[in-house]
Amino acid sequence: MGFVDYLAVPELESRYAKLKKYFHLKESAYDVTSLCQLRCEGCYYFQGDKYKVTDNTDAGAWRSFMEGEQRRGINFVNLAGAEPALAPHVLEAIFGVIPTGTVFTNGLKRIDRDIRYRIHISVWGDPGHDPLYRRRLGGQAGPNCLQAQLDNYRDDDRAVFVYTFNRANIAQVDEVLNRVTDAGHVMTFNVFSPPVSLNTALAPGDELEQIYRKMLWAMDRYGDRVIYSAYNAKVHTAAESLHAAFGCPYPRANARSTSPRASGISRTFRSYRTDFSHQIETDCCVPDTDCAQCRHYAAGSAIVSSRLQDHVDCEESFRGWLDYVDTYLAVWVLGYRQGPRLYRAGGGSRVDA
Amino acid sequence: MSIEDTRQQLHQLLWSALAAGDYDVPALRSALRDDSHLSRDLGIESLDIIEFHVRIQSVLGLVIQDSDFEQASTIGGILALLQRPAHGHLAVGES
Repeated sequence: MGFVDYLAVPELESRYAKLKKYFHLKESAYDVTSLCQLRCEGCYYFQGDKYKVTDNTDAGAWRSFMEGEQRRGINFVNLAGAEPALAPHVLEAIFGVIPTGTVFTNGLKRIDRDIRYRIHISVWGDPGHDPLYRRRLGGQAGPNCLQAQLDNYRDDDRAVFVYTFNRANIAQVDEVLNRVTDAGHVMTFNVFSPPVSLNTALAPGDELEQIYRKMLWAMDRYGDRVIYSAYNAKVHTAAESLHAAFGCPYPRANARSTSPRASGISRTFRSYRTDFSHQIETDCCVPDTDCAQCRHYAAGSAIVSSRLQDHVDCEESFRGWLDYVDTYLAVWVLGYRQGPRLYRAGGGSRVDA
Repeated sequence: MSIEDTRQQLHQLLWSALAAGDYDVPALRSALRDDSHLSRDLGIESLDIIEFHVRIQSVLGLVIQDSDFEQASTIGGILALLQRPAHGHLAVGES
């Protein structure tokens, strides 16, 4: 049995055809501003030197810059930095040129409803603990982000709540899931992946197994309100990092690897700073993250999706890849709906669900 | 299998890989030469090239390393790759 045989199975062929319509997406990342109300433990943005530049705040300059990106073939934008919602005129300028993409936000300020990007709202824990992981600029405990996020994005189809599991907040997801889904929203998962130079107690070690089981429980309990798959859970909580398991194709990892594995993204992906500069050493969706501990959801979206050839050894493996890419598109592309899960938890897995 | 047979087989596998995509396949059929770069000259997306790669492996029953396939990058290059002793695809009845 091989790839061609798997496509003879109707449900696999139909899912593959659905995904293939998005193979043309070419993404890059853009830090929009360095203004941010918060300083979060493990935030990759305020690490290294990339934020120590002068923000370009001119909407016309952004428009021209994005037109150049469009000519370069980029048709999907990842808008980050900290905090993109605080630069609304820049978001508007970018949206006017490339109208497909995702904004990563702490959700404390609502992004104008006319900006029809997917919006990833970060959640770090329950209301009792989130303020400890995410502090204000002066070091005081942060605000109750979840309540503000739910208020700002009520009845907003752009929103996806992204819960970042760390070693200490696994059980806290129960309350967050209840509140997010009660409000009619969807949630997906991230796994805390520390920056290279950060000494933190939040990075999961032995807790990865517990996180895996919690993810499976959440999918079972909340159904399609949780945009995830058993295969996502498996690869993001494995002992090996994503880079170790699949070989990261981002330019940053490729440039440093002794056995690089290139793919399309290796040639086109750039991570721009707020002054439009970029360096191959940080051309990655999570610059300054330690590749040896990278289980980040954004990184995985590119790493696993680009490794079809690593998922054709058996049908279950191919099913896992189909679910992974289906999840990726549902999380990242506004309007894309996740289909029924095809991969069975425990199929070829290190643990039974 | 002759080189020409293999070339035709590769063409068929390429068209299969592109069938569900947003390509002008008739125009690509006219433009395709042995030395056409799949991405630069024909504009084929990287994930479709990966599908072409896995289709070749699946149908011909062999393994081609990513780096070798990436380096080949043209139908002519892939034909040359398949003639290597390690793959042995053309070893019998080669013309």
